[in-house]
Amino acid sequence: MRDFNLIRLLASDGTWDAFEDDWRRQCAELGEDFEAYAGSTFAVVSDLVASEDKRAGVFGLQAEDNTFAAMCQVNKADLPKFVGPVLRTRFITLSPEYDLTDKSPLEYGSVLTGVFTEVLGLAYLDPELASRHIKFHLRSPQDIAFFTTIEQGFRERDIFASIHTRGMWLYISRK
Amino acid sequence: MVLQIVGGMFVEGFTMEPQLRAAIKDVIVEAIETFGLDRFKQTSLFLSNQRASETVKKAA
Repeated sequence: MRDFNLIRLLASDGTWDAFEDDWRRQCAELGEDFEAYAGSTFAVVSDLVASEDKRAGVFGLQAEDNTFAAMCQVNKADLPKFVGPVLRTRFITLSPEYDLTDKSPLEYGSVLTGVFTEVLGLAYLDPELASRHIKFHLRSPQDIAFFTTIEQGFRERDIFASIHTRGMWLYISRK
Repeated sequence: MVLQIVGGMFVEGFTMEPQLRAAIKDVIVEAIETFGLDRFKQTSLFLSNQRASETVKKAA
């Protein structure tokens, strides 16, 4: 049974508003000013939410209680040196609740697993986004160090055809 | 053959086996524990760190 569902956030069907309302509520409950906290990140993705490009979108990781635990941006592109399209994942961001309160490794791990497995689901199944290769963008040296730890774990379990970190990206090719 | 509901439609073929999902979760939870929760919370997965990073870039 899945703990989370990854849903595309669109301006036209109200999902983006529902997502923003939820994160505003989370901020208010935690005494955080939403605009100062998330305004710049939301500004980055809001154009994509409005454009409704079939090969690119903003996705929210929704829990069973309809709250959103994370968001990310996904787009499909044809890139040099790759046979077939590549699904790129950027701006993986945990919700205010996960950011501003202390959760356990299991709770953080559950959310990150949700993002990983649901993006893999897009790469396998989505009519517009299906891709054999998946890249996750890493934005800081600390990100690189953490995802290198994940890479080693996946490598030991032989889960993917290939996985490696290079530059500011984690590259995965699915089996 | 497995049927799975995806985006409101039934899709035939691939489904992520529970064992695979569990293996991915094991790897990620172990990585957080190995890395350390304090260091994990300094990654850009956290909006407060993204904001701090942007502030540093603007200052530079």
